[in-house]
This record gives sequence, structure tokens and C-alpha cells, in this order.
Amino acid sequence: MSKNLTQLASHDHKMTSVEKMKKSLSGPGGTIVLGLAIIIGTSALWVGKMTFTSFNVYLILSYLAIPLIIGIFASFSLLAGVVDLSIGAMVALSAVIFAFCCINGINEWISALIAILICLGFGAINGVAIVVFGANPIAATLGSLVGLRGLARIISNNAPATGSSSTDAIPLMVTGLNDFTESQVSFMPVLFIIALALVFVTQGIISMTRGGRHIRAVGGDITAARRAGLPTERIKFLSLLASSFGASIGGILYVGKLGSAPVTLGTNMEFTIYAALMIGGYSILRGGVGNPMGGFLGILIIAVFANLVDNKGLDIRAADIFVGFLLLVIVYLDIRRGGDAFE
Amino acid sequence: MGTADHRDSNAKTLLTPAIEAKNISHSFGAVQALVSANISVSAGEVKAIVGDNGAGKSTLLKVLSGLVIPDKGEIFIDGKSISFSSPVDALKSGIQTVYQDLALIDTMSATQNVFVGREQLSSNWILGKLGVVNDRHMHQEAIKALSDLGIKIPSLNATVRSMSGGQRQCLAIARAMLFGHKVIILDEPTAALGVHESAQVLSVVDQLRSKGLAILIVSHNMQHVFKITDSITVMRLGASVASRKTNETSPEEIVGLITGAISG
Amino acid sequence: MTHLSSSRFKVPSLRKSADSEYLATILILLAVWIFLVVISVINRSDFLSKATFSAVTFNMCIIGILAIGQGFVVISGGILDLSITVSMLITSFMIVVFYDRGWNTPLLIIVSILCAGVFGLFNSILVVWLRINPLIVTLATGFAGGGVLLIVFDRGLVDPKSSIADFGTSHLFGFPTAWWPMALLTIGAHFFFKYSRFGRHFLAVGGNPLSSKAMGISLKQMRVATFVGASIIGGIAGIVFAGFTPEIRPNAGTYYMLPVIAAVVLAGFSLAGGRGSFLALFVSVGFLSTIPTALVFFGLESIWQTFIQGFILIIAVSIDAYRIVKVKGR
Repeated sequence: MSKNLTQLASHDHKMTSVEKMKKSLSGPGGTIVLGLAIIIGTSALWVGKMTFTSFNVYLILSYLAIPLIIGIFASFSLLAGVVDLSIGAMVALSAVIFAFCCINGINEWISALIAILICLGFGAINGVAIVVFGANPIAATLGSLVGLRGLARIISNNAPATGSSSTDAIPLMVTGLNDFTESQVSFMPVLFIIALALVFVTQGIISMTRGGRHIRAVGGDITAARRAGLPTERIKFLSLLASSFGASIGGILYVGKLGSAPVTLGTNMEFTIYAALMIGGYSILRGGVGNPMGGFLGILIIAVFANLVDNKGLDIRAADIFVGFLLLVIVYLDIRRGGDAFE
Repeated sequence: MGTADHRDSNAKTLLTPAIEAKNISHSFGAVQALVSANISVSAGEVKAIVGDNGAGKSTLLKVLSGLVIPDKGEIFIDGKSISFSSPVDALKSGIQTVYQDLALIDTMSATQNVFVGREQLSSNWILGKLGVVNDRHMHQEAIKALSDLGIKIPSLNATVRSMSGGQRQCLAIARAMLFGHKVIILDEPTAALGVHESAQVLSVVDQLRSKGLAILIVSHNMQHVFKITDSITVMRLGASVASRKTNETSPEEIVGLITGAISG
Repeated sequence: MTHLSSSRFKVPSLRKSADSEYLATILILLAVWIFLVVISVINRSDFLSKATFSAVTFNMCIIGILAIGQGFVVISGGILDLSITVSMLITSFMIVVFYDRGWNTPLLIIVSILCAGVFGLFNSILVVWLRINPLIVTLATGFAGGGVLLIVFDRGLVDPKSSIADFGTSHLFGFPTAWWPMALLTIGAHFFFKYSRFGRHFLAVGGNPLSSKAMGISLKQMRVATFVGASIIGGIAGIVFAGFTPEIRPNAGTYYMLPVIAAVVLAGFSLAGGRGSFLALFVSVGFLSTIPTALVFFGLESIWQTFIQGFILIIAVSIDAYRIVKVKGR
């Protein structure tokens, strides 16, 4: 018996050492890294040395920091198998509420807290609809998307007009927050460093902790998770709260960065972020797959391409063409490797 | 496979059933699914529940695993009366059910599946408090449990979706064994399997018996039932109509009891 | 789970409810719609006016047609077509392009719609041959298509003297002329899915693709037909859109996407496929199109419209899901 045991163990071990390299290169991680290499290579050839200047790197990292924070929090709900389409609208709502409170003379910290709490409240409404009533997540959060964007506009329209501003944005310069969002360590924006730290922490939570296991189990197979005695409803609910929390933080940070709270902030952001996360190995169709490192690389790929488009003076919407195309390629490669094919 | 020795040695322990359900009645609306059905299994015993479709087998099984709360009747565990209000209660009482769908999570590895919901935390105080799991230890325990049962799975770190039907079934049973200390209920364990894989599953069941667990199998496959069980309970129209020692009966008699050609 | 056992006993009641369920949805939506109209009239008696009627019917034109296309995809098990507004805009832009080349009206309409059909064919190729989930395919092609439109066409100007613009601004039998395509498509879709054999095939494929395949229906053909069909319906919306939009912008689609899906979901279409009624869809579109005007009469700015629409959608899907759970007896 013990011989059998060691055999099993050693076989297992061999697998992890040598074949893991090969496997990871042909696996989803390899595709993403390869994709990133190709896009950086393209940029290097096309744009030239400028790609690697510290200023350009700063631009890329600064562009992706806030979406990365939003994306990492949203990835909890993807992992738990619930898509939260309302994050883009939630970003706008949070920004508008924050700005609205601030210009009405409320302390910045309290304003931020109010914005976060209101967003969590709407996240809870999503949660009740999806978890308690069992509504389809896409349909329910689509409702939030429409509704919250409307709410953001209503609040914005009711904000006291300042100067020549239109009703489409609440201008607001919070000096401390702006300094914070713009500060950098060498070529790295502080926001990016925070976002990256968040990626690593989340990676640890997902892969190494009991809570992370449970989220993946709920997303992987809810019936099985329920049978194993996991509090599936609570996990789904909390994951939805996590995604609205991330969106509310993102909205506040955008106000700092932009110096205003435009109502159109985050339009289509839910789609861009989910496309990036899918490129990174997550799926909006089923939970339990993907990891934060992959999600980070997915967002990085898109940011590098957006930077490339920008440097060449092309229309920024060209990046959308690329996102769409890349998404299809990555998903197709996943299907070729045995991922979920349609029918 | 179920040798004669086993049956003899088990005869002693048959006195106090590990789980016993008495006079269970339950109806879904106008349909009476169970009519004072009885069942009992002792430690070290493998018992089959057989019956036609709609005879109430799966409802009885759900009653025992806490999914269905019966209208009437009592459940005893080791002679003590107990009532389940949810599947979790049954799990806590040491009753593990392996359903036909196996409840394995495709996206997770074999080890992770074995320990899902019962992850062991790191022994390091801080890491443990943070909820960090001890993968190495769980991995070793999974290897040990599987090799104890003679289950061969190439890599426990691969996701279970790449495994064969037999491997998946064995894995689900091994998981039940690791955490169900008294009773394991198997719903059609060989239904979707080939000849070789069925043999593998049956040998695992045999191993479980030798470990002193009480095992309840719902099956349609007479050949497998006769190969592995110690006793058989026949259900018909929601009632348990007869119980027989496997070595004292014949497939013909059992089929007769199932169809009602022979009355219990 | 428990519904495994209980479903056996519940089957008859489910079968019985199939038709009456749609009727219930239609009646509930109709009741809500009438309620909205009644409280608006009580609030301000001048709500029932020619202006209101015109505003509501104009609102219905585009959303209604796009919703039929979307409903077609949903009912056939194609999940959702997130690129349907791209189909619409392709047609609108092609109309401008062909008109500027001096093509005659029927020809340019047909060719423009066919362009949308080609786009739908591209979607269906990705779905059928690369076997990528339609939600991802149309998300990607919606993205990419929107980008291409923006790069190729900055904007399109519709000649106000053209017969297309004429169609968009004129009236016929008391309704805007542009309203009639939507009404006719609704009736067509209703009879197509209810009584035609091909329509039944779509329902079958939507309800259970595997057993439909086993019964000899070609999944591939059905999927191609679904996405090409949806894009062609989107193309019809494109003609109407070109009719009353003097200046077409490539990003105009985002305004329609969400109300369209909201209308489909509100009408009780199951996103899992196989279930839905186009008559209910008509009522749901009508109801959603009345909200903006009603809001104005209540003294609320029309921006409240999206907020209210969104939460009506959440409540509707919650109630719907809750009802299904109760039927299953969980």
C-alpha cells in the first residue's frame, strides 16, 4: 500500500515540475503572455523607441490603474458566476454622488463614504434580485445599468450650476485627491502600485484561502457547492457587493483624476472590462475560471493597444475593433483547448 | 468482492443499525410517494434498495439525506431518534449521499473537490486566521484516502473535467468516505459506467464495507446488486414490501417482488 | 434537488399554462400600461392628446423593431444579439451612401438591408463554425463593428427631400408611417412563431437544442437563420432610423441597446430560449415608450425615464424568476 502511495505521489510530482512549463505555455496563461508580447512588439516596431520611454510607460500604467481596480473587484462576481453589468453605471453614479456631496460643502471623506454606501446599497439591490429572487444576472444588472445611469444624470442635473459648466459634468477639483491620483514613484503611478498590490492580494485570496476556494466552487458548480454545505447565496451576494464596492472606489478616483464628474463616465466600461477579463481567462458565461493575474494581463494588453492607437494618432475607437477581435481569438483558442464550446 | 467472510463477520454488527428509518410516509400533493416505508442499514453492511420507477426509492433516499422532510415517520441514528431539517443536518450526522450527478466541480482539481467546504487551514497561526488553506496536507490526505480505496487517478492536481466517468464516481465516493463517518448513500453508482469502470466502483464499495461503513445503494442493475450487497430491500408503490439477505434470495425472487408477482 | 421528483407531478400544470402564461403576461403588462395612462390623465387631463400619441408611437418605431429582432434571437436560444444596433446603423449608413450615388429607392433599401444581413452572416459563422458563444461573439462584433463604423463614417446626412426622409416624417392611417413596419413585423412574428413550421423549429431549437437536433432539425442552419434574420430585422430598423434622423452618428446605437433588451425581458422572454410572446413584446414596447412622455406630464424631467425603466426591469425579472421558482416547487 505504501509503495502505491509513493508512486502516486511521485507521479504527481513529476507532472508539476517538467510538464508544467510546457503546459503553461500552451495553456491560457501562455496565450495571454504571447498576446502581450505580440502587442508590445507591434508597438515597438510601429511606434518605435517611444514605446519604452518612462513617460509612455507612465501613460499606459496611469490609463489602466483605475480600470484595474474596478476589474479586480468585479472579478469576484465573475468568479462566483454572476455577471454584474452595472459596474460602469456604478462608476458614474459614485463619481456624481461624491462630487455632488463635495460641492454642497460636505467633507470629502464623508462624501466618499456616502458614495460608497449608496453604491453598496444598489449592489445589495442587485444581490436581492439575483440571489433572493433568482433573477437572471444579465437581465437584472442590465436593469441597474440603465437605472443607475439615469440616476447619475438626475443627480448631475440637480447639482448647483457652477460657472459655465454644462449639466453633463459636475466640475470639482479635490486637491488632495487629485494629488494622490497623479502622484508617482519614478515612472510608476501610485494608483498603479496600489492596483498591482491588489492584484497580488486577490491572487492570494483566490488561490490560497478558504474563502477564495468557496467563491470558485460556487461559480464552478452551484449545486455541488450547495451539497458541500457552502453558503452559496451569501457568497454570491457578497461577490456582488465586492463588484459595486470596486466600482464606487473607481468613480471617486476618477473624480480626483479628471477634476470633474462627467455623467458619461464609465460608458461601455462594463463591456471593456469584461472583455479584458475574458481575454485574461475569466468567463462571463460561467464562474469558477480565471485568476487576477490573468485579468491584469488582459487589461494590460488592452491598455498597451490603446496607447499604441493614441501614439499613432488613430481614432481611439480603433481600440474597440482590436478588443473585439482579440476577444474572439482568445475565446476561440480556449475552445480549441477544450473550453466550453457553444453547442 | 463481497466475500462470504464479510457477510459472516457483519452478522454480529447487524443488531444496532447505523441508520434506521421507520414508517416513513410522504406525499407530493395528491401523489403518495412513500407509504410507511422502512429501511435500516448496519455498520459494515451494504444494502440495496431496489424497485420499479416511481416505487419511492429516490424519495426515501432524499428523506435519509435531509432533502425531503417526511410527513410522517422517524429516523434513528445508532438507535437515537433524530430529525433533519436540511441536508446540512444529515451531513453533520455523518450521512453522505453521492447523487448521480456526483456534485463534482468541473473547474476545480480532484483534491480541491475532495475538500470543498471542509478545507483544512494552514497550521501557522496567522495564516490560519487569514483563512489560508494547507494544500500540501490536503493533497497528501487525498492521496492516502484514494490509495486506501485502491483508486488510481493520474493527477490529483488536474481539473476533474478531464477524468473518466469511473474516476469521477470513485472520487465522489472517496470524498463521501473521508467525511461521512457512518453512512454512505449511493444513488445509481454504476448507471452510466462501462463494465470495467463499474468493477472499479464496486471494488471501492467493497473497501468501504471493510472499513465498517454502512452503505445504502439504489440500483437498477440486478447483477451489480447481487455482486456487492449483503441484503436487499424491495420497494413497491411507496412501501418497503420485503427485505432479503442477498445470499438467501435469487434475482428471480427479487424481480418477482419488484413487479408484484410475488407478494412480500 | 427536490424539483427532480416533483417535476414529474407538475408536468401537466406546466403544459396547461404555456398559452395562458403569455396571456397573463400580456394582461399584466396591458394593465400596467393602462394604469400609467390613467394616472397620467388624472394628473393632467391634456395627457390624452395628439401630441402624446405621436410621441409614444414615434418612440415605439425603432425600439419596437429592434426588440422584435432581439426577441427573435432570444426565443431561438441565441441568448442575446449585442450587435443588433450595429446592424441597424450599417443599413442607415449604407442608405446614405447609396442615395448619394443616385440609386433608386427600392434598390438601395434592399441592398442596404442585405449589407446588415451579411453582418449577421458573419456573426453566425463565428457562432456556428468557431462555436463561440453568441453572447461573446456579438459583444465582440458589436465592439468591433461600432469601431469600424466610427472610422469609416464620421456621420451620415439624410437628404430631407428624399423619399426615405418623407417616409420618416409622414403619417398613414393616423399613425406615423414609420410605425407601420413595426406593427406589421409584430403581427408577422406572432403568426410565424405560432403557426408556421419553420417558426416552430426556432422555438424547438430555443427550448431544447439537443433534442431538436435529435429530431432532425439542423442546428447550424437554424443558428445561421437566427442571426441573419435578426440582423435583417435590425436593418429594417435602420431604414426607419434613417427616415427620421437627419444626421446619423455611429454611436447612436448605445441609446437603443438597453431599452430593447429591457423590452424583451419585460415581455417575459426567457433568456434561456424557447419562451416568449411577440404580442407581449408589443405591449411591453408600448409601455416603455409611454414612460418618457408620462414623466414629462408629471413634471419630472425626461431623464427620470432611464432610472425608472431600469428599476422596472429589475422588479420584472425578479418577479418572473420568483414565479418560475415557485412553479418548480423549490
